[in-house]
Amino acid sequence: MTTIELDFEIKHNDFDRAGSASSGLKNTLKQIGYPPDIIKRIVVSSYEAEMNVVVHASDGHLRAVITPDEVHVTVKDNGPGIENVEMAMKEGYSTAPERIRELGFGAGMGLPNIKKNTDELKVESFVPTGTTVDFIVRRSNG
Amino acid sequence: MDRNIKYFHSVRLREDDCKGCTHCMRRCPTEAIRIRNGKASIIEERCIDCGECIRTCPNHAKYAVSDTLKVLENFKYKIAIPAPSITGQFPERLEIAGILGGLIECGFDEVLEVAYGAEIVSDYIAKYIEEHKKIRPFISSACPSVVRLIQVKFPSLIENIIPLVTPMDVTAIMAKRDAAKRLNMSEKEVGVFFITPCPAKVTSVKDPEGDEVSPVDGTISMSEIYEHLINHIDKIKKRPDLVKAGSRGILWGKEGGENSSIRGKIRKLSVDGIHNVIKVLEKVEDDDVTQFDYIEAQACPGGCVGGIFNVENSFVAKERIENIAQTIKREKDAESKIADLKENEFLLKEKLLPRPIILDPDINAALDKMEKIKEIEQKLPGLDCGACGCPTCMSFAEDIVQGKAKLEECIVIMKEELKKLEKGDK
Repeated sequence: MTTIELDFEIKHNDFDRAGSASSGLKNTLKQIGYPPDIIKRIVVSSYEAEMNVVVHASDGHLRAVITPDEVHVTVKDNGPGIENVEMAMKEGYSTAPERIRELGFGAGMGLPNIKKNTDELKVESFVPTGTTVDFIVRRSNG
Repeated sequence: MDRNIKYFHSVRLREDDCKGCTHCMRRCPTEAIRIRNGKASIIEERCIDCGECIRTCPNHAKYAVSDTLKVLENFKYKIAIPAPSITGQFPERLEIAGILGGLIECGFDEVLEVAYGAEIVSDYIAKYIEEHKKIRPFISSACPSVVRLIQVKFPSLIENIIPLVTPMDVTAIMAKRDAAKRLNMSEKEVGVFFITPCPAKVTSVKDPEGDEVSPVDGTISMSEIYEHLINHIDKIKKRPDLVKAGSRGILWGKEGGENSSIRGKIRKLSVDGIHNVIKVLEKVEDDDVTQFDYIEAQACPGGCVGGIFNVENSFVAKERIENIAQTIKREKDAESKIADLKENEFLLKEKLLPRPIILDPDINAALDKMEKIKEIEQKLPGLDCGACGCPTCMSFAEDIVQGKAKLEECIVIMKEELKKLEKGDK
């Protein structure tokens, strides 16, 4: 079974490049012919995870493993980590500074939105070493 | 249409004039052009008839086809339905009454402005948006290139396209029905012709999306009408009796006009130019612009005034439309409709279907191909120079895997091979 692995860099506070990792993943999935509704769920999730790193964290990576049955995405950054993961999973909870909110980010919908769109989600965070957001979206909605 | 070909396209190539340069290939928003054997070729599945290649070709080798005034002969009674952008094409002194009078002189029996249908459609768009709150944002269905762009490149956004017919369709249905009834003719004897600013509309009439057959019988390019009228505009008999549209409808001819015509508490975004449209659609895909209820998206810069069949400079035409719209005091209401359409006639009859470009219908095979593409990409210089005849190194790698190109066609790789050989000789 063929698997494709993709690796994209994410730069903290680089709003010019923000979204390029999830966009790269999206274009690959389109070419492979993943169903549009599944791509939508993967893209919304990976975009949220990527933006979390750009806005809140430090430099990081988005890695994706694509198989015929599922897409497994891991977004990892180098800190500072989330103090309270449980709180961060609640809708509307945000620690984004005003400057970021003015740009339209930081509404506190990031992680809850990922949860809504994925089949499996694991968030691991350590202060100050960093956060790993790990999720799977299956092609046949299992 | 002829079912032997998969898709009709208005945009064509005049091979004799093509020098095989890479301008069109690099500009094409769907990577639909390759240079093979020194000539450009269009991949029909990918082409969305936006006309970018016509705009950019330095040798005028790309062109678009439409019908000519000759097709009028096939019908007993002929009606012209000019696009709203026609308002910006002629000197102000001709006035709208003069433009419509001019169309009569071209051989039409009757004229009904698409701008008039646009006002009626605007009200239905507002109603539909209000009644369907689950999908945000809706995307306008008016620009056929944008609809095809979504089918080809953004299949997940198909349901965001508002499933309503366009002002052209509504105007055609009304004009035909009204004339047939008034003149006691069969609708088949009445021919309705769209005066088009762009090749995409020609395609949408010959090969419509969302309906089996277009209510429009033919398309005449704006430039042909312009040629017919421009030399004697001061002799044209003005026909104020034919003017039916108000300023709302006329403004549809330029970017932002569609949005300003849609009333009510609806938050709207307007984007023009196909590459800008792509950027906004990317954001829609990311669920990043859900604060908007509606997006007016047009492939041409400046909106329909930028269509390649238009003659006047698009900036001048845009200002002219705004200027003329200001002078129109009277606002037409949907109540003064010349023919009543049932509510369901505003809905697209057929569901829009995605037509994505994929590596292989079998997902396992597609993944294999993707793996090979990634391998080949590693070997390529990543310059996107276009000398191989593909717009990017990535698309070149794709063509190699699909058996349509060979690695040796990369001149950067060949140059390095040559260097190696020279070194070996010494």
